[in-house]
Formats: sequence, structure tokens, C-alpha cells
Amino acid sequence: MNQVTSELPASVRPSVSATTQTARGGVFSNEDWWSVWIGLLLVVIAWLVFASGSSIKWLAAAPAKWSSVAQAGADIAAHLPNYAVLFVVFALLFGIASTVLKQRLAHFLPAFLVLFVVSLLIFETAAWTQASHYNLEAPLVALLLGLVISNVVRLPAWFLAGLRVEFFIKVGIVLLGATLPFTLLVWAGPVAVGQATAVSLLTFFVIFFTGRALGLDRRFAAVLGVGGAVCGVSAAIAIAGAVRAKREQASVAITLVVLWAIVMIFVLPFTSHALGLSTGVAGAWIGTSEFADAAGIAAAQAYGDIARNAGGAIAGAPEAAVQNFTLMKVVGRDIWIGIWAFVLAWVATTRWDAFDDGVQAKKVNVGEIWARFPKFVIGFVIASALITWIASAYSLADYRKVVTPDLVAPITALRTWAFTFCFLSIGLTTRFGSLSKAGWKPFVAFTAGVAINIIIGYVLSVHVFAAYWNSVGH
Amino acid sequence: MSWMSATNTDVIVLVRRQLMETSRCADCRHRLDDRLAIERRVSGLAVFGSAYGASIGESRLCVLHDRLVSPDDRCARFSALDGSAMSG
Repeated sequence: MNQVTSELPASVRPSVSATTQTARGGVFSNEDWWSVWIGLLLVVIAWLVFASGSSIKWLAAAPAKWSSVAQAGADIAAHLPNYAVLFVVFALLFGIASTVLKQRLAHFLPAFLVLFVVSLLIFETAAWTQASHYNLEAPLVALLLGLVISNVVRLPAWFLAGLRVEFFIKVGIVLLGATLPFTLLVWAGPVAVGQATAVSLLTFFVIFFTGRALGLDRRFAAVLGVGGAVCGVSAAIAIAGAVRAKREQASVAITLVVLWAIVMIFVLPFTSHALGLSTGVAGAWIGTSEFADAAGIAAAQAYGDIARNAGGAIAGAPEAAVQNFTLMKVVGRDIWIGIWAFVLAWVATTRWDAFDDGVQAKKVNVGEIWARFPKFVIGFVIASALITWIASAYSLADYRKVVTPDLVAPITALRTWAFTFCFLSIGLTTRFGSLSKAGWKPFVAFTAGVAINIIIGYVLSVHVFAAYWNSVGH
Repeated sequence: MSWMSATNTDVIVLVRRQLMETSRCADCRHRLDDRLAIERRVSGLAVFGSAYGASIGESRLCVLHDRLVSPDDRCARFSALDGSAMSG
């Protein structure tokens, strides 16, 4: 309390509310932190079971290849207890997070049960021996099925509680860390950061100045620019908060990100295939040019699946598409969101016009960088370091013979489950009719950035750093 | 300044100044501190993002100005959570 107020009588002295005294944040306060705890808990459990001479393979069940419906039915029936336990484990972990985050558990659990069962059916469909012939890759099937359902049928409100796209993808990315050697992060990180930074800056300024030339408000142009340049919807809401944008501006930017991200889920893998790109190069290109983590993982995994079923026609390991995507997107782009928010908040409060509605934005401080930092990246790095440390005790032959099937493969299966929940949730939450009407000016500005992003991302991934990304892919 | 020697105008000025200093958005009933409600009001946010993630930070929606605000922001239309408003 200051000197002036302390002199006032208590009856007219403004009270200091409890909220001013409570600490903000905390390690259980958002889905990023929960994805770290859930991902690392699963990795540690897998490790402890592995160290005791067993494996969590029984938990991380996945459908086997089948060629007849009877075979598929028998496979599901045989693994029903495994799927039941897997559901309970996921429901327990996500349910605890949901409760602490004050979401409605009574809505989440039944919705997640439906999501799990449909994901299993999608998983099973993708295991059909003819699936690749019809391009029935699990991510694309999940997305398309979800899109059709959500745009034809009005889903009940309780069901939407189970569709946590960002949460599922972040848990999947932490688990993905356990399948990437830490040395690869250290080796590939600087190149990913360099390539991503060049493309991000260029994309941002193209969108921002195109928007300004079309007469868009500075704050709106900034939200659009970072949404296209950094990490899609997360970036758009982060920058909207940092510059105190209007709700409608955030909604329009997010709408454009969603529309283009969904288009790119289909365009990037099939274009990569048509151009004959290796999985490593395609992963880097998708990582540079997709807007949202979930959309990019869907595109990269779809391309990995296409490569896996191409009989050697596509160079590189199938896993390299998702690996290089993650290096480029998570390490190269996502981790800078706090810095973008800090810089733009500073510019907005010191250089741009004051608000005409009387809102006084507080002076920005460096805490903004950490507050908006995507904490799931920490889990991703720790998981990578942990598995690398465990693997260091084995020879390469033993790693392939023992560690891969009993430790890494089950974690990869759990990751695939998390990604499938995410892909299905993307489709089920995308109701085109409920998205904001964007207007042609924001659309033109954003699309200019999309075009630059794709072209420069292609040139850097396919020509400038092709040898590098191919070597990472092998 | 001594309290006993202050005029009514002085008191009003002091109270208003102090209210501006303590009337943070965090304590205002117009700030929608409900992440599910934010997801519902910002179209598409839950598709590839989340109001429960780290990127939104402490930003929340001011339903009066229809603008995202931070807890320490202020404005003249502050209305305390307990219902007491700052008079104009």
C-alpha cells in the first residue's frame, strides 16, 4: 500500500484482493506441464519394467496386419484385455489432469471412451494389408472421418470435453522424445533453428506488411504474422494476449491458421510424394511450412506411412519424417514463442497507439518469455536424454535386439495412440460453419505468408540443406 | 497530507487515484477467468490450440472491451469482483 492510501481511513481504503497475492502458474497449472508429467511417467514406467527384465508391450497393444474382416475381428478380440487396460491407464492420467485443470471429468471420461474406441477402429483400418493402396493412412483416415462427422452431425457439448487436440499432441511429442537420440537434438538443433528462424522472420514480415498495406490494424497484423510464422493457433493466442488484440482479431487469425493447416495436411505429403522427396527432407519441409504442431505431425506421419508402404520407392526411414518435422517445428520454431510475445508486447506498449477504449496495458517484463514458453519441450528433451543414457550401456547390436523391441517400440506405440487421439480430435473439433468469417484482407495477407513460407521452406529443405536432412533421416 | 485537513475533493481524488493503482484486471468482474469459456468464445481455439496451454499465459478475455488483457492491466471501467464499481 502506498503512502497516500495509507493515510485514508480504512472505510474508504481499497482492499487488496487475494488474487494479487497468489502466485501464478505452477507445474500443474496447464496442459504443457501435464504433458511433461504424463509423458515422462510413461517413459519411466517403461524403463523400470524393462530394467526388471520385462516390457510394457502387453500394455502398448496395437493391431496386427490383417487381410480379412474375420482376421481383424479375431485380433481385436484377442487383445481386448490389453486395450481395456490401456484405456484405463490413459483415462486415469488424462482424467487426473482434467480434474486439476478444472475441466468436467464427468464429461471428459465418456467422451474419451468414445474417442478411444473410434481410434482403435481407425488403427485397425490402417492395419489392413490393402490400406496403403487406398491411401488409408491412420492420420488421414482419422482426420477425414472426424471432419465428416463434425460437419454433418451436431456433436453434443459433453463430447467436446474429450477432444483435447493440443494436450494429446504434446503428450505424444514428449513420448516421441524417448525415440530420438539426444545427440541428434544437439547435432540437428542449430541447423533447425537457423532454417526455421530465417523462414519465420520472412513469413512474419510478409504477412505483417501485407496486412498493413491492406489497412489492417497493427495488432491484428502482428497476430496474423506470428500465427503464420511460428506455431499457428498457439502463437496466435499468445500474441493476441501479448498485444491485447480484440477477440475477433484472434478468432480470424485462428480461423485462417486452421483452414490452411488442414489444407496443408493433405497437400504437403502428397506433393512430397509426387516430387519424390526423401522422408528426411519432406519432414524438414513440413516442419518449416506447416502452421500447427498437430497438423504437421499428421502430415509427417502420413508421409512416413506412405514411405513405409512404398516398397523402398521413397528414400529414408519412415520415422525420419516425424523426427525431422519435430526437430524443425518444436526445436526450431515453437520454443521462440515467448520471445516473440515479449518483443511484440514491448513494441505494442511503447511504439503503437494507445487503446481507444481506455485499457492501460501494463509494462511488459521478461517473465513473459517463460510464462508462454511451451513447457512440453522440456519433457521432450528430458525423455530423449533419459533413453539415450539408458541406451549408452548397450552395444549397437544389443540396442537393436533388446532395447528397441522391449523399450522403444512400446513407447512408440503409446505415442501413436496419443497422435491418433489427436488426429481424430482435430477433425471432430473442426466445424467449418462455426469458424469466424475472415474477410478478404486478412485472407490475402495470411495467404501471402503461406506462399512465401512454402516456397522458402522448400528451397531450404530440398536444395540448401537436403544433404543434411537426408543424413539425419538415415 | 493530514487526513483531518483534507477536503472532500482531496479525498475523492485520492480514492480515485488509488483505485486506478489497485484496480487491476485480475480483480475485475469483466475479466473472464474461465478457460473453457474462452475456448468457446474464440472460434477455432480448441482445434489446434488450447486455452489450457502455456502459450495463453495469464491473458484472459475482457468481456466488456472484447479484448485479451493481462492481470495487471487497468482501465477506468473497473468493476470489482465483489460488485463495487469505480465511479466515473
